[in-house]
Amino acid sequence: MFPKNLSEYAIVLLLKDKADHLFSFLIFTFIVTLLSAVLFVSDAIQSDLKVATLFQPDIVVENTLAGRAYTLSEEDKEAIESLRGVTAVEGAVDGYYYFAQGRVWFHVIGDSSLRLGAMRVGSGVYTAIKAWHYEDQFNFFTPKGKITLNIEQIESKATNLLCNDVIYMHPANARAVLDLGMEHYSKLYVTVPNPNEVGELTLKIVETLPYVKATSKEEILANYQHLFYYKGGVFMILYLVCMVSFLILLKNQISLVYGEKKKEIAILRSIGYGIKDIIAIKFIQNSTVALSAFLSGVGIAYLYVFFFQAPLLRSIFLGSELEHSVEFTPIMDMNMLFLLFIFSVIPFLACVILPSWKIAIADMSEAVR
Amino acid sequence: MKTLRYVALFFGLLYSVIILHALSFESQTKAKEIQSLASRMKYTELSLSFKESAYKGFVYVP
Repeated sequence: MFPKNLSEYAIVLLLKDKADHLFSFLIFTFIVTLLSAVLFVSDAIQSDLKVATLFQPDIVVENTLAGRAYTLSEEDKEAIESLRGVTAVEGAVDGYYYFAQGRVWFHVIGDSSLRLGAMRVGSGVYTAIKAWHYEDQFNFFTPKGKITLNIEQIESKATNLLCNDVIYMHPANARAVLDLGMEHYSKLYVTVPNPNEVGELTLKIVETLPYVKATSKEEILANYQHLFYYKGGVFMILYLVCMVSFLILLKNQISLVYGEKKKEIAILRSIGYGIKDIIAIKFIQNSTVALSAFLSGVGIAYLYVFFFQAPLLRSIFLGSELEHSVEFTPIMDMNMLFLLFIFSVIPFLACVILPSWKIAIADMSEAVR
Repeated sequence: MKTLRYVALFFGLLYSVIILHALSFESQTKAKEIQSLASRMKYTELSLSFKESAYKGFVYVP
């Protein structure tokens, strides 16, 4: 593509000015690492959530009272069952239990596959209760007294994203722990065999029971897609950091062409180098820096997220109240990476090549002076 | 050109390690485990310790 001599000369010049280029390389790598790491964590979480939606109910019905989650009654269940198009309504028992000693909340879910008196816990829960010497059994303190359940199994690390803070137990035990009556449910799972009717039935449920919140499977999946509100909070700060770093990078790139470098271009022009050659030299130098920085950034982000499971960044995504030892599935969204490449490498190269071209076509005697 | 070759070699090795890691990850086993859990849970949510910020406020009241 480029003559070998020109490429060699460009690399020699690159190594000569290594301090300037090293600065660009480090900032570029930092930006790409930060953005790629956020992208990798978010993609890994979303991919696991997508796998988990296989058994998702068609409609989830919840109740609220004074803005807080509230129970649903047997009458509500029957009212939904009577709607045409609904084949089954399953009442679920779930809620939150406050573990006062550890100052954390556990998510209690009723699971009819478990026997009475037994429970399965997520590894975050197990770590939290083990710190208080609960190894085989755990005591729940309720207004009606103490309930002791045996720890039957600890959920595997692979499913930690979904059950780190969860305790599964028989629905009767869950009702006792959450102080829920036999005719009350935390949520109702509605089965609608015809997918075309789901939207309409969601509206019908809200019409029949105006105090409930009905969420269709489609909405739940859409929520998973927009799980992390990128415009808010910590993510905004991360993007601002990237933006400012990128502006510093571009300023550094432009300054690489002026001053001493302006003279260098003028000398090259006066000894017979064409405008094309000068642009080629600048292109080789800066594309080497940009490509190396981009590849390093993506590589470092991969190692950080999938080898070391994203320490610090993981807490931003998943919270830090319970110890989260997750294992992210290595997933890379190539479209987003390509977009990142285009929007970082092209401005980076343009900020050097355009001023170089402008200097190369100007009057040389002016530039040397 | 020698420098460029070394750079290419470094990235070649780095990305070989990454590809090997990605291929050796048992994503099928993980997917099966998640599916078996999801079949029991039905309505799956991300485990974030606190579902609503209101809960958090209550917990940390001094």
